[in-house]
Amino acid sequence: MYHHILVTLDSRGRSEQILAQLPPIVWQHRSAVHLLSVYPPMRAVVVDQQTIVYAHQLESQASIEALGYLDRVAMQLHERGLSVSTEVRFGEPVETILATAQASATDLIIMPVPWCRGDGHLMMAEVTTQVIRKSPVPVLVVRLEA
Amino acid sequence: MDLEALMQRPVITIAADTPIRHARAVMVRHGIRHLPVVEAGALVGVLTDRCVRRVEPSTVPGLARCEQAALLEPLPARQVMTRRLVRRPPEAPVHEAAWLLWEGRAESILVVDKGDLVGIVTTSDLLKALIGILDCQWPATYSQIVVPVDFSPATRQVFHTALGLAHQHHACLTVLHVLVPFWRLLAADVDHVLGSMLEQIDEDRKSEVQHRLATLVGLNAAARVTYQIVEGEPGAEIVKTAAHVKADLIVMGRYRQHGLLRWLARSVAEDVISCTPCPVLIVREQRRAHHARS
Repeated sequence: MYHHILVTLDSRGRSEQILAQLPPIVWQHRSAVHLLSVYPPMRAVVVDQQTIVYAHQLESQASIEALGYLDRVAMQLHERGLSVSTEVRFGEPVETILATAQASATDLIIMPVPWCRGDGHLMMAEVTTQVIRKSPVPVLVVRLEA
Repeated sequence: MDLEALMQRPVITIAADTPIRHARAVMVRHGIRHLPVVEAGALVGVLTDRCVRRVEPSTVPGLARCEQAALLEPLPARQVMTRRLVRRPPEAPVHEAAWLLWEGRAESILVVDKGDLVGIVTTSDLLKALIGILDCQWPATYSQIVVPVDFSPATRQVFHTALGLAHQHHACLTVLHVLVPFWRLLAADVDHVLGSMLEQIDEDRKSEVQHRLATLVGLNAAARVTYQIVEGEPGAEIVKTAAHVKADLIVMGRYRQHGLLRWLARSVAEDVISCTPCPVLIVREQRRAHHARS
């Protein structure tokens, strides 16, 4: 039913909770899982018209850290027999997620919604809302407890 | 489950006169923390990682590594080991061993068969067994799926997606229709006579919806499918019903709001997602294919 699943993760750690939510759909279909972290484009650090750090250096550093995290998550899934790939991209989040989904022939996007207000209602991130509105494929929204 | 099922074997033992430094090297090499100590063919104690650490000099004073080693060198295992031995036969139940370890009455369980040491069980082995048990229960499956329908063009696809998942997971499927009272759609105050007419209209709508739901569900009588009709605000009622049936998945389309909320461009799905703790699968109507056909 769902053969290629795209899971959007951030590197703040709580997204790992999604692993507990993944299995019912992922495992039933033995799907190939693509873990994706998207960051806004980095900007060079300029002081007194002098470039201290270039954007690509910042992106490279962020990419290494994010991939390290994604690989740890991937290993947990891989140990349980799933085919897992990881990717870190920089760009406008909604467009990047949808472009990645299209490029990897994704048939389901899984998005953790990581933030929760005190009254139990969820303040959905704009990215999630926009992906739901624009995605041509089904989107599974998984709530992560704060 | 008995101890034989999870004990480590063969058991690595050391002689009572083995220097602590060598014993420690054995622990590191084999990745273990408990070494049964044997003297003249008989079990006399267990040297544990904790025992060794107790006699190790502190690293704080800044002793050289070779000096630390020299301090440990003359100490044989027999002077450091614990003499408290807990022996159990291979057929002893695991839960007894777990109690002994949990209560601190043993650091390891020595599995002895006819006087011979055949295995050892430590806390790590119990954790390994626990992982095995939990793995059997993982991945979980969905047991209750709720699918709200509004008989819009997306309904068929949403319903079939939910039905497919329910079949695969052997889950119960609750098909839900939220009837928005007619007077609410009008968004205006009504008098008594008009109110009665609207109530009658609502009754007729309810019968119609009931008939359509029965038809939809009836076609899939083999699956565990039930339907419900409730009145109220779609988002709130879907969340309420999902909580009531203890749903672990809601499958829905991006249904439109009625009245003012429609102009706020906020879908029912977004309302549901923001209020329910359970995962929500949003199924998109395949408009391209629909347009292509039309």
